[in-house]
Amino acid sequence: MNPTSTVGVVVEDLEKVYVDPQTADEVVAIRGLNLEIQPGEFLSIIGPSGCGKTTFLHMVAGLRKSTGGRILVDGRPISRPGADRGMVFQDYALFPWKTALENVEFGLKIQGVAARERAEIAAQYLQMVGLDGFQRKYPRELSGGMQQRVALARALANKPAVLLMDEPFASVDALTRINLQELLLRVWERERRTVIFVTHSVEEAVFLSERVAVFTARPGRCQEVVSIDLPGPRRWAALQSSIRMTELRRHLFELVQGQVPVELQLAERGA
Amino acid sequence: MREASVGEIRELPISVRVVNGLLKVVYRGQIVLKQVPGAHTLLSFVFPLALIVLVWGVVAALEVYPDYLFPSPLKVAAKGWEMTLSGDIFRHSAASMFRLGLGFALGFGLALPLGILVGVNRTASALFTPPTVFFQAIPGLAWVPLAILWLGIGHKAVTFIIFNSVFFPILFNTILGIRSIPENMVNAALCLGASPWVLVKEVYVPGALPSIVAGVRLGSGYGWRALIGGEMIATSTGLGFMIFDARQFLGTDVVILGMVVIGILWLLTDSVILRPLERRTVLRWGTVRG
Repeated sequence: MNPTSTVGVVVEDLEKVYVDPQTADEVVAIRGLNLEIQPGEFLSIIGPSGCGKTTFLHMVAGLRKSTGGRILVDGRPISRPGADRGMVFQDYALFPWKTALENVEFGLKIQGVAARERAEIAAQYLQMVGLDGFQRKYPRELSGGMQQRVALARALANKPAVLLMDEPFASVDALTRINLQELLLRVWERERRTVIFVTHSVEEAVFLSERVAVFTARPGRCQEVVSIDLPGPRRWAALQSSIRMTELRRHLFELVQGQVPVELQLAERGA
Repeated sequence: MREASVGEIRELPISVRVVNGLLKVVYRGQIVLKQVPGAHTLLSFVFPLALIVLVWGVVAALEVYPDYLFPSPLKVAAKGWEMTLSGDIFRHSAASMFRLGLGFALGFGLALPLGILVGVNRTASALFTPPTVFFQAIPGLAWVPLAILWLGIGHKAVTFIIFNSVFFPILFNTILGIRSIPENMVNAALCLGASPWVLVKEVYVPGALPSIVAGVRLGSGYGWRALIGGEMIATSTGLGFMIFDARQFLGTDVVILGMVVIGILWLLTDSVILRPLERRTVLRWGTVRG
């Protein structure tokens, strides 16, 4: 299969201002955001809630428009959603009227890939995420973790140059999350797509990424990018006792913690 | 939800209800959906009706009212046999069903695309929502005078009236269905490279289908009522006309026969076409928002 993606993402002075529909006030969600994601790199974004992580990801996907600056994918500014940028959502967003296989086939079908060929490709990707034998199941017949694996297969089968993941493992239980994280890394080691992974878990960001970008509180911008120099292939069992992992986690935790408003920190300590 | 296996011993259910053509049995802390057993439903449906016919027959036999005002079930049945042999029943039923089909096709054919447009597009919504809310408030039968003046007595006028009754429930249910599709489902399709047309075909229509089907069932019911009402005034065939015309010759047996046929035809349409359609979509889709 396709080894390493050659497509990087460059973010230049990005800005997103929107008008609050209730108060009619202008809200600056993102301002002065600069970031460079290398081709084939796995980069995570962490930051306090409301820092514009998800907004940023939606802008890279082309689902929302920026109000300033630009995003270049493979050197070209993006303006609309496209199959070159696949996305995995927190709530899976599978089509409930389609089987697992039909869901994975969706992108290939609209590209006009012949029925037999796309079924073969979709079956391969379902196998890759460990869902062999679940091809005919409807999403409602699958657990949350399995649904998210279908969603991952659906995004990958389309062979996107960039894979965008919006807190994809936030709504599954802890054990399933660990399984999904290791699965994602195995898949990424096989097909090195450029991945932008948004999470609020420092631990998850450290485990998965080559680099972690820490966003500031609103208006969001990139405060610091931390390289994660943990050896691969990474597995939870081996990393539990890693001193380097603990150091990185502490460092990133302090960076994120520094972004929480002081009043809130005090309130939490007082309580 | 699971099927209880045969012979399984259970506590008594708290409630039993028919929901979307399925038997919904609620036990303490557990809900079981079962297929409605055919013979049992038929019996439980026919028995109360048979009771009514029995009371009807007794009252008629007592001759509280003269026979020409309150005919006996036997007299109505005889009339039914006579009109079956002459083919009149089929002629009137066919005229009614044809109009219903035509009015429905027109109403559905226009309401579906307009509903999709209004559900998806903000400008279209701003433009079409106020007039549709206004016209929805006007019962289909209120169009009878204009329908006669514009289209004359006959098929066209009645079809127009049915169209008016079918159109709005389907339109509103389509809009509702489209609007309740989770945003990320649309986003996911866009990120997989869907064009606007693919989005309509692969996401909006299937996503809104349970709601559209509910609108179809509702609209057909409204259309059927408007049909009978419209036929009483605006035409010279059909079951509505048959009933209304018989009044002039004190043909109460024909009137009651017509009512029975209307009831049976609607039950057939609903249970053979509409309810299975609804059940199938609900079953296949599960909870769309799950």
